[in-house]
Amino acid sequence: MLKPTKQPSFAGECVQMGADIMILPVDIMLNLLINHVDPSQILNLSETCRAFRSLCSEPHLWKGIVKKHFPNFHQRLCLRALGKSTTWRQSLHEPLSPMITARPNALQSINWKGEYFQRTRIQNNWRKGVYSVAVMEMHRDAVTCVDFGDKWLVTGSTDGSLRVIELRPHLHSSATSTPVMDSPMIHSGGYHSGVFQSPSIADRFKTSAKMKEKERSSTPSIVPSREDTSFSQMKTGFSNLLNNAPKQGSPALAPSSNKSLTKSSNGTNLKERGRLTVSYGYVPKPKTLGVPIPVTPPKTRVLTGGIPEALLGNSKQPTAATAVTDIFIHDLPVQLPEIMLHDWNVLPRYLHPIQCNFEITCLALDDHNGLVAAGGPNGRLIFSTVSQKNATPTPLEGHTGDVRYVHAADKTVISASSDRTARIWSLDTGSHVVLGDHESAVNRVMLTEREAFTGTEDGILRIWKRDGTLTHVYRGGEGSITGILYSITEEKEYVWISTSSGNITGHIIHRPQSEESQVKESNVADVTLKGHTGPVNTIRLQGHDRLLSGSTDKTAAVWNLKNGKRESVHSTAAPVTFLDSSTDNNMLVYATQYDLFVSSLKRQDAHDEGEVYLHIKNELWVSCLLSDDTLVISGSNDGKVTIMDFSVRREDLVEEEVVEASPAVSTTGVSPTGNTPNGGAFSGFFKKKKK
Amino acid sequence: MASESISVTTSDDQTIQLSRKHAQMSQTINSMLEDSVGADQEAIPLPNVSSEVLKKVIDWCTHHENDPAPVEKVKKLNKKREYKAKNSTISDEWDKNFVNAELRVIVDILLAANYLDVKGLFELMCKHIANELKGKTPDQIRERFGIQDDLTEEDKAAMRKAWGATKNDS
Repeated sequence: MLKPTKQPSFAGECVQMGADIMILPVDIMLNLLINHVDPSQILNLSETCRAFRSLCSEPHLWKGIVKKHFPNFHQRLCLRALGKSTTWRQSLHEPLSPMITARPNALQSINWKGEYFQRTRIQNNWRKGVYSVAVMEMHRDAVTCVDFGDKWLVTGSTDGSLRVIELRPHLHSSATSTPVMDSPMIHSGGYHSGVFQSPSIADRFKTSAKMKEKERSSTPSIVPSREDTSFSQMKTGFSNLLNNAPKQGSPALAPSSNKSLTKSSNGTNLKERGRLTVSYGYVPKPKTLGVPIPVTPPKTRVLTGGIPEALLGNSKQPTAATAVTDIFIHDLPVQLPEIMLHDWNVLPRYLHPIQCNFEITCLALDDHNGLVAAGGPNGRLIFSTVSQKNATPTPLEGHTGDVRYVHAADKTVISASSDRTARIWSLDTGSHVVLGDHESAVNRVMLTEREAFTGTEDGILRIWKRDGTLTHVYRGGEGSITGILYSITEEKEYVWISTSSGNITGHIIHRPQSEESQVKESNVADVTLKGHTGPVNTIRLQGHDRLLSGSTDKTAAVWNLKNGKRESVHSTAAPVTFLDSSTDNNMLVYATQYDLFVSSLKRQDAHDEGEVYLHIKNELWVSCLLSDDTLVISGSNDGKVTIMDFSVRREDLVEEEVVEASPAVSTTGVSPTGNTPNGGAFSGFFKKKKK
Repeated sequence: MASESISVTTSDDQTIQLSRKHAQMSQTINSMLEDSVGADQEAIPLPNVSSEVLKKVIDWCTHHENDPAPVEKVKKLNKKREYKAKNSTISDEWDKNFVNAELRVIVDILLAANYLDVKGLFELMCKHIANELKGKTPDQIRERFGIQDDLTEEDKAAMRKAWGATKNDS
């Protein structure tokens, strides 16, 4: 027999007479607030009375709100609190498990409310195109590959060095990883920040020109050293530097690497060509602090520098990649200078080189353990720690052909080579397992907790156990494999491969129980995503149920993995070479040869193009691109690395120029979709569609 | 053969007849029916629901009896949520009239819907209350919901300060 059960009200003893809403129990109130009330409205509600005040500061409420609005972020935050080795970016591509059985005490330390508002800010920044950008001249030659996680960014180049940058300093534990700032600060390339919004950009340029005019008469101040760099001081030093740049810049300052660069390009001024159009605050090297680089006479070697084969899709097809064949490199090795950057918000803190002495074509970062692996031609493969300065790379010997791809996770590296093998290297013990018997060169590899996947040039996918036992061969693919991903969709584990024939196929991972079971052979894929007509260059996952693909057929597509249907197609003017997503922000970042786009991932109905929020034109080929939910990192063929950071606070962006231009910012900033005409000369930067 | 009508006893000891179809829209009654196959002559006791409120619930069930199954509905909403915040407007005209009632009644229906586990009705009531909150200042909310202000000025100042810091973050 049922008895009347009365659930206690959320207000406890504070229930007021006549206030009917206060008799509702906590779980109903939480459900109501999480699912139906706008989070910003909760502020007003919390100011009504004590009962609501305590309800509105309930961590469960904000945890629920974060989960609702930012599901992927919520998952990662939980995993992180549980001490799982997940990084912001990599966890997207190597999901551990969608099921989180979180211990409540581990999650208590999370400030859900703060996280929610931080995520909202970041999302608004993406939508409105607010970001800070650092353009760093890091390499003397094309940046071929880049990888980053929570803490580190590593770039690799055909100049034979890896560069390590410490990202997001606030995430590093202060005691162990505070870098030793013993050398003078040296600018190498530009560093600036600003609010980029299409309507106001012209104003900003005007204002900064005005500022230049004004300050041209003032005496230049000395660049503040790292120790006394409070932000405001840095700003003054920086803006002085900036404003003096046109006068003193080119002839007097820049004796070292600028010269070498100009020389090296054999008449073509790489420096001029490589300037990002968006980097208006280009800072030349301060003369007094410059360290001369010993430069040996350039050795004239022509490289088809830095374009991974996947980019070209079908390597036989001549594409615009031929435009970058005239890259000349120095005789290796060259001593590279130490470069340091300002300590500012979440932007990189310092960077140091790792000399490898071979042309790096691929790299992989194990962010959690601070390890990087890099591969190059003729079987060159190394690994190194990233946290130490002047780290000496350790060679991993075994491959006899070019190393085409590496992937690293959990102190293990897997490498693919044109010698028809893939190898799994255990960095702890130094031992390695050979995955042989491939019919042709191995193009792509991937490592998960239990399996390794290899994809060859002739389209064959193999699934291996980590100990080297082959479990599954799929021979149905056409063309060479250009990407491998792993996802857990509706409790089934899939491997997704993309090929140069335009197909994307999904294969369920079977784990036979019995030991003596035979290798499973198949010719038919479990899921086929049809739609691309040209080679697929990049595939990425967004969370667990969306796959993004960029193809030479000039489209980027969004696929729903639950039903295998194409959700939307973004058409562009040129082949999509790289693409990545910003997860919960529902933004798509993609590059087409010289252009970089940030676009919304909106409509469910197919064939509806997303709205392009940002369009950045480069003068050189974008040679690599990666993004996570706050950063977009791209490399170009002249050795520059651009870091766009969408997690900036507006307050931090206030420079002198912004203050002056503030009326324009405030009036136009609120409507990102408004159709205010773009500022004349700069209209090419930002293209917006009318709604 | 199960009969087409079910009788339930409400908290004020009234016995009310409702059709099996309507009864099954409540997950709570549905599971009770499944548990007691063959014993459907007996009135089901609903000690948390008054007859007045139950009549309202039956009204709603009658109007929505041909709606798609609630499970599908939830799925659809989840999907939408991925793109943008759930649409909070109440589209159905009948529903608009239905929620146009005193707050006391709304809250009772919400509690009943929660207890009886009628998803669509629960969502509707939540939506309605959320709409009532929408765009209102603290004073307006107090007025609408009959809440007495028991916060001191210092409390409010402290809260605004704390919120201000968070808000600047966004």
